[in-house]
Amino acid sequence: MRGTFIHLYFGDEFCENKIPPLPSLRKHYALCNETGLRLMFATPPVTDHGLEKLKKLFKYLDGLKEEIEVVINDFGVLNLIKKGYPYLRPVLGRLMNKMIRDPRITPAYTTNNAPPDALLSLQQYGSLRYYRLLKKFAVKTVEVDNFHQGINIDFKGLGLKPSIHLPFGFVTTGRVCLFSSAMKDKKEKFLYAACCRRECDDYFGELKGNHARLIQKGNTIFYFQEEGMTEKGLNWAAENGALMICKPRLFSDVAYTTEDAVTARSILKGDYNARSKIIHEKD
Amino acid sequence: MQEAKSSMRKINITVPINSLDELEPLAANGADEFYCGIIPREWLDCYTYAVPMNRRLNERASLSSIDELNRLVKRAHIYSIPVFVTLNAPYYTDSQISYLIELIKKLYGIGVDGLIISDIGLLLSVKELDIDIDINLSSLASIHNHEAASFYRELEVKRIILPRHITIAEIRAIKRRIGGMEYEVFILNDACIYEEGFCNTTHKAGPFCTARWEYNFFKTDYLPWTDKETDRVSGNLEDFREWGWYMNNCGSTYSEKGLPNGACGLCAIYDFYKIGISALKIVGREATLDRKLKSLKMAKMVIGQIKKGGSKGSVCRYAVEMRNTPELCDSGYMCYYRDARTKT
Repeated sequence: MRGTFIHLYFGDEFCENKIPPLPSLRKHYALCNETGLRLMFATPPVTDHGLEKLKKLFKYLDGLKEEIEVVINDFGVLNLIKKGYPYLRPVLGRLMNKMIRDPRITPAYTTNNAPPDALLSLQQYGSLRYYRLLKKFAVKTVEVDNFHQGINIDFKGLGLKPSIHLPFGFVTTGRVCLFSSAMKDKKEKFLYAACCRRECDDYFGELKGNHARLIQKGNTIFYFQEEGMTEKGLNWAAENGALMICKPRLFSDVAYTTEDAVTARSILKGDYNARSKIIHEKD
Repeated sequence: MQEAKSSMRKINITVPINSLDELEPLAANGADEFYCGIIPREWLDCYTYAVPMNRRLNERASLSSIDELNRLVKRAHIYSIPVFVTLNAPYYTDSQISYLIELIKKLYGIGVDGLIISDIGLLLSVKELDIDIDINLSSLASIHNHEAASFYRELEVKRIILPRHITIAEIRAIKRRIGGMEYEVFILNDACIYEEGFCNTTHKAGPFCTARWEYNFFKTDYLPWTDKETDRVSGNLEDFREWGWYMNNCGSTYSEKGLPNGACGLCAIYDFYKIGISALKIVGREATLDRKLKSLKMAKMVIGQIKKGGSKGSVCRYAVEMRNTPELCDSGYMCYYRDARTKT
């Protein structure tokens, strides 16, 4: 069973304030070595300030002189990696996939009323020229969310490996954090370049409504995939040779990846935690 | 004052337009550039409004035929005003790009000056056409750093339209490091709570962000709330909704002077002159002509003050007094660029 876990997925995809400090990255790399996992390091969209933070971390990772996958959610970060970090392997993050994830309306896409051409285009993303350009930047893996409307992209034909997030997809994100603003004076709230004390680690909100469960964590709103939808995603992943990025607890700072649906189900139930090295042996 | 004069250069106001009827009044009031959408019937027949061709879901926002656009372009060119067409869906599939390329050939044929694009596949396809048409990168590309600007410069875009969620300091840093391109910034109307380029919702069900969501709040450690925490977090939701109201054009209200309220970067124009920004964007293809005209006039009047040699402080005060809504301006929530008013 141990061998079916592949990566420790660490870092933040959504907020440059949450780019980890170097000691934390070192610690997680060491944890990978201890547990036999590979590190997959996630990065958010960034300003020039965030780029400077990432440069320090990339220098460390590249200096390890082993191939390490870095999830990029900003073409500036992709550009940076191409120019100066030969050991880093870019993975196109899910923020770069612009497919609709609006839970108020995506269920309607799967009804018989949906126009077939419209539905097909809503299940697809990108074009040949786009994917060719990504290859020039050495992108071999592309992340997706588990979309309600399904996914109809021939990743194999494109020579790319898909990677799917379970069980939380993101709906929308931005530079304004609801929870960091809570602790500020009114005039200082809702700023784009605001410092924070990581209040998003302490508080979260659920948006009420007649749709999928929506959770606001910091600057981002996520939709939770109920068991049936998660199973659909797992089946799609198995059929398409996708990496499954499993993060059963939204507030954990790590996720785990696997290519095995049974292992994924185990992780999603919370049966695996590399930190405590509890590894459940299964047949 | 000296600084602004020494770096004085042309800064265009780019104005939305959705019909030929709007052209004369907008041209007469100083529009420097027009941008518009077009949604041909065959696109709607195939995809319906479930898949917008240019981010707009109602017919009022776009022109409906090449003929109408042709007349608009010809008329605009009489005034030497260029016309840009938005093809700014977050992404297009291969079959959609095939359709759009044929459309773009027609747009080029009628003299459209440029396209506003965010999808890289479409951008590369237009480049392969090897026609003399400008490509402006849509704000949906979410350029927040100089490396991203460099990435798109390599793809030969002529202009980057910077996103809404960016500060003047960040704009200055990008422009300083990555030249050889034009930059356009948002100046009036229609802000967003989330970053447009990372917002995967559709306005088909109404804007996600301005829906008045009810929340249940939790602590991640599930310990009891202190009174201070309860006050802070629940009070914050009211502030968040208030900010959302400002972002959403202050509920489409007007000032007592009859000027439109809503997201505003007028105080930042002085900085944009100094930085060397090429164009200021007025938002709202589907807005009324009255709103477009008044927005245009406000931006023109502020530019007039700069041209007269006003200092940054005086220009900023002029912008605030012009609308005469100090309670809205002082909140800071109506500002596109709050850092514009912290350095007067």
